[in-house]
Amino acid sequence: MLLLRSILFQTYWWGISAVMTISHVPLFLAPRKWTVHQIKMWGRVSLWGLRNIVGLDVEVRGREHIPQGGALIASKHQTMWETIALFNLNPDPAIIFKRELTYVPFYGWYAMKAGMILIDRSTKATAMRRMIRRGQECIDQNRQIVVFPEGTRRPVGAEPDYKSGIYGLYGQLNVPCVPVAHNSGLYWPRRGYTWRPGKVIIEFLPPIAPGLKRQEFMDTLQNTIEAATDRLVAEGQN
Amino acid sequence: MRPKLVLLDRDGVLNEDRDDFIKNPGELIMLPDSAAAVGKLTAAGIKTAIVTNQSGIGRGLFDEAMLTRIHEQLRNETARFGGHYDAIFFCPDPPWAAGPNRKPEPGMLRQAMSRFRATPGECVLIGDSLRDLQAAQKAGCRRILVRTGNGAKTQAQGLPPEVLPVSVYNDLGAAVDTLLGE
Repeated sequence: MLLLRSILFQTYWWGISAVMTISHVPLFLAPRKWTVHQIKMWGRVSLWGLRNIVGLDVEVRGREHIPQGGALIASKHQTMWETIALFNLNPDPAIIFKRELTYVPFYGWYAMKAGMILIDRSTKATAMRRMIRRGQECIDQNRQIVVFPEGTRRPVGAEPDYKSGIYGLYGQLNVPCVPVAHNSGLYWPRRGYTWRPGKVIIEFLPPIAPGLKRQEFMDTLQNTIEAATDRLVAEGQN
Repeated sequence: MRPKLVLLDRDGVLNEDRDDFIKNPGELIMLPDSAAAVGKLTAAGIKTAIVTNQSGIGRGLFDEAMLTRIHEQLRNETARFGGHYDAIFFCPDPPWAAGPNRKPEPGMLRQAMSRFRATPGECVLIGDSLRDLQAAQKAGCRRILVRTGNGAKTQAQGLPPEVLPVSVYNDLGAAVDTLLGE
């Protein structure tokens, strides 16, 4: 049954993704906001499929902490789910992606057109300067910069591995940082193609005020995200 | 940003906690390195204030004169490392008659902030219990949990979202080193 639902969802998802992705391409000529809107629509359609085909629901906690203006959003990264959810829940997000993504047809074009921040991870110092410059542009436009401070997806329960790259943005841009925890890894497949029914809980936590020094910021960020993640994972396993 | 004022819980942060309360100076045992950590804050020109629930008074186990003697002992132990407390606030209320000063209420913290003309953003509270973090959250100041005293248990029981963000350190020494770091 689980496998059947997952196959059904996958068929649905590839189908709608193909249609929505290709049909929108001419609108790349329109302003950026149109593409942002289209991606949000695709996110809603994807989450609709998860809810109605797989039986995977979403609970959002701490909505009052979702920033309406410029801010950093630092999230735990377990699966692709939170990329979709964070794009849809924030008013005008700029997600930080690795540059290689631009080589993926469609996906990369969308990322560029929607104004995501693409970073080259091979050249450190220049990449950091570029990222901060792009970050400042986004903050000036009241956008939310979404960062996965561990750099990559990590399995549930893995030893935390926070990189201090996010401090470059926090320290230079002087904006609050909203930590985000969730338990998507319990439901969304890391490998393979079996989605599990249930309810992903995503929690926006009270912001870390600007101005902390590097070590205190990194410690606060990690402790806060990990404490909340552990609690949500335990809640999901009950 | 270096804090202007550090608010310190006492039992479990500066000295070893006791289930049956610290009722006389002889029962006051400093935690390793805590006095030295306060010394570093003093040397850095940061004000320190103790904010401590002392329900032992409200329960009739000891009186204010005895608490003064305990605090003299605490000041002496700390002074050996150059540490100084700029103020000590205590709340004598027992839990069954708790007023606005007993943590988790923020009364004592607010008094300390107004005494030193510090805004919540200029303060950090360091404590070992959930109610310390709750009081700091209500007062609007940054909060640090140390794993001494009740701290490890507090962390293991899970921190509710409203008290986050919180940073956690093994003891006061590690917390102060980070506060004073680059």
